Amino acid sequence: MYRGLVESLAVIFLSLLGIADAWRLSNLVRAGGTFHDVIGPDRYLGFISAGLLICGMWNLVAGLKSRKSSQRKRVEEEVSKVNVNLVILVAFLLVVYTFAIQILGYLPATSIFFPIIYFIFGVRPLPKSIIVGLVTTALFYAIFAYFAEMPLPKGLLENIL
Amino acid sequence: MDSGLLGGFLGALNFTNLMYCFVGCVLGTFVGVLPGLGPAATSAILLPLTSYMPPSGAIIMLAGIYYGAMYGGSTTSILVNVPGEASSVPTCLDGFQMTKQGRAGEALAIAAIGSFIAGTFGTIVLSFMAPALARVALKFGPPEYFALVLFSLTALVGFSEGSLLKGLIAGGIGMFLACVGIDPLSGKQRLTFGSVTFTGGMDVIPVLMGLFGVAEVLTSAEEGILHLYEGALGHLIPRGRELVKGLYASVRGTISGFVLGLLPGMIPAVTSFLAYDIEKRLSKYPEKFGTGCIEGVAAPEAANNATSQAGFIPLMALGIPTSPTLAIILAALMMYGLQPGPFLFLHHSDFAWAVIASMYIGNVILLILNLPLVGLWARLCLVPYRYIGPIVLGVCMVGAFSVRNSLFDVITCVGFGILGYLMKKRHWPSTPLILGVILGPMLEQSLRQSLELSGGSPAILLTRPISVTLIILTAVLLVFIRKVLYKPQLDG
Repeated sequence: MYRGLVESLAVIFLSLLGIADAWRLSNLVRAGGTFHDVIGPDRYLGFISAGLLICGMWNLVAGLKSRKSSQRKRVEEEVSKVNVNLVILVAFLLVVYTFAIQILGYLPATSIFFPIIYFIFGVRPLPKSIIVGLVTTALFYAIFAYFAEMPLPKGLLENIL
Repeated sequence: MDSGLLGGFLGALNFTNLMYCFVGCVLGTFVGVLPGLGPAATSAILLPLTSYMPPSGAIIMLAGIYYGAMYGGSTTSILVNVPGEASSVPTCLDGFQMTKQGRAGEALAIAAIGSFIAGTFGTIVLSFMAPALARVALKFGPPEYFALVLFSLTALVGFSEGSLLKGLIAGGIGMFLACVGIDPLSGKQRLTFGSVTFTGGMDVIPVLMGLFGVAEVLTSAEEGILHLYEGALGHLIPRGRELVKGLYASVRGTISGFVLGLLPGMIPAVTSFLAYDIEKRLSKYPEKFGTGCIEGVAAPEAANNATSQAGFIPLMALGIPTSPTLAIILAALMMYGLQPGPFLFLHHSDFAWAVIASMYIGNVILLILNLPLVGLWARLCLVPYRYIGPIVLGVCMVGAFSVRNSLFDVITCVGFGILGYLMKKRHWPSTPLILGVILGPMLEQSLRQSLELSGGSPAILLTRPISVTLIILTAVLLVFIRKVLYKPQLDG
């Protein structure tokens, strides 16, 4: 039930953001009067946001009503908590990797990312995951930077590569 | 000038396009065989990389992945009782029973033959119907396009996976996110909140890669390693009455899969269940279904292929995607500046016909790949996910970056990957979100243009015959999909 509540509140929050921006735009646009564009950039956004608000509230009410069945589901979900931890770790690593690309550059960040992600996914022992990770990094760099000529961020290696 | 199907064959048979077709078919069969990696995820992952290919080669390859996955999905369903694709779930019911009876070869063969019949039939109808429909669509103005997009949005109901409310919310969020950036008609900034980063809007490709690629890996990270079937395949071609029964079931599956596949939201995963259900209802011995009936393998396999092929008709003739993978192919076409719809056959007929011709060739390639080489594909089950998952993640990261050389897109991809995973875990459908992102701007633009044409009167939408017909059809289809077509699947 708790998570169902969070979902509904997130949708409601998003819809309120949309309504606020549509309100702001309505003051800007109507002052100018754009031909026969009766909808403008505001009303469509406002309509979508209002729809989301209604659906979010509906979901909230429906979630509160089905409290009992949600509690039953929570017991089932607890079984796979170990796997969920793995997913959280991978997701966290992806976020760190995204920022590492920006700071360190693609090549150094990827050289660290692949060995760790292989290890997390279960490639054992550690030296094997390091070797496989570095080989994968080299292949990726060769394919994307050399063959596909993508301007990947160089970061720390700006003056070397 | 219209080059026609013959010209299309000349284009498709050049070495480069032939190679892309082969690669697409191989990749399609590969992802079809591998549980946890679907055609939508693969197409999304490869989409940014296709920008380095010629347009015809890229679309030929992506199409090959889509229909190739339908062929490959049956292999693991039959041999190890694990569907490679959602559309192959009904194939498990009788296919695995046939394997246990030592008739795996027959099941694999009828699945491949049924897929070939359906794929080829679908391509033949596509060759005739798509250009004809495109000619009709030349008469479309903004009101007709608005009604058509509205009609396509009925797919939200089909993609809602049991909860219409959640489907509507996901679709609404997709349309909401599509508003981020600069409004093309007024030039005003929407939902940017003063941030320069947001003015470029949300590119659909990182969203797709996140929702289908990253989310798929995060979900699959929880799955274990599969065991390969090590028993005998038996003889490969069904004999006598079994062959006849399988062929008839393939034809019935082809027809039902194709007709339903023309409707928005009717993805192969739905039509294969319906074909199985129809076959069971028509059978003289319905009680034997689930114990190794050849019809139970042939019909759903033919149906999922027919549906995947049928989806190319509304895509190419009207620019309307009926499934997630087709939405990705639509994004690829738009990336190349090729607007699918009537003008595709008018201004880029060489391209359109080359893609259609490649489907004839692709079906032959797939028949070869899936009959004599079936043992090879079965061994793919041995590739542990611990090696595939990280590579997919790496490709997603680079792919998202390559769209606009922007780290914002990489962050978007990761963010939507986490969102997609959470949606899966919490039983929220992610496809309506993509549909909203793609169709939202089309809906808004056509509506605003329609109202500009009419001087602000919404009556224009209800006074033009095509648009009013489509609006009525939308209402009818909404009821039809929800009440009638989904019943057998939900029961199953």
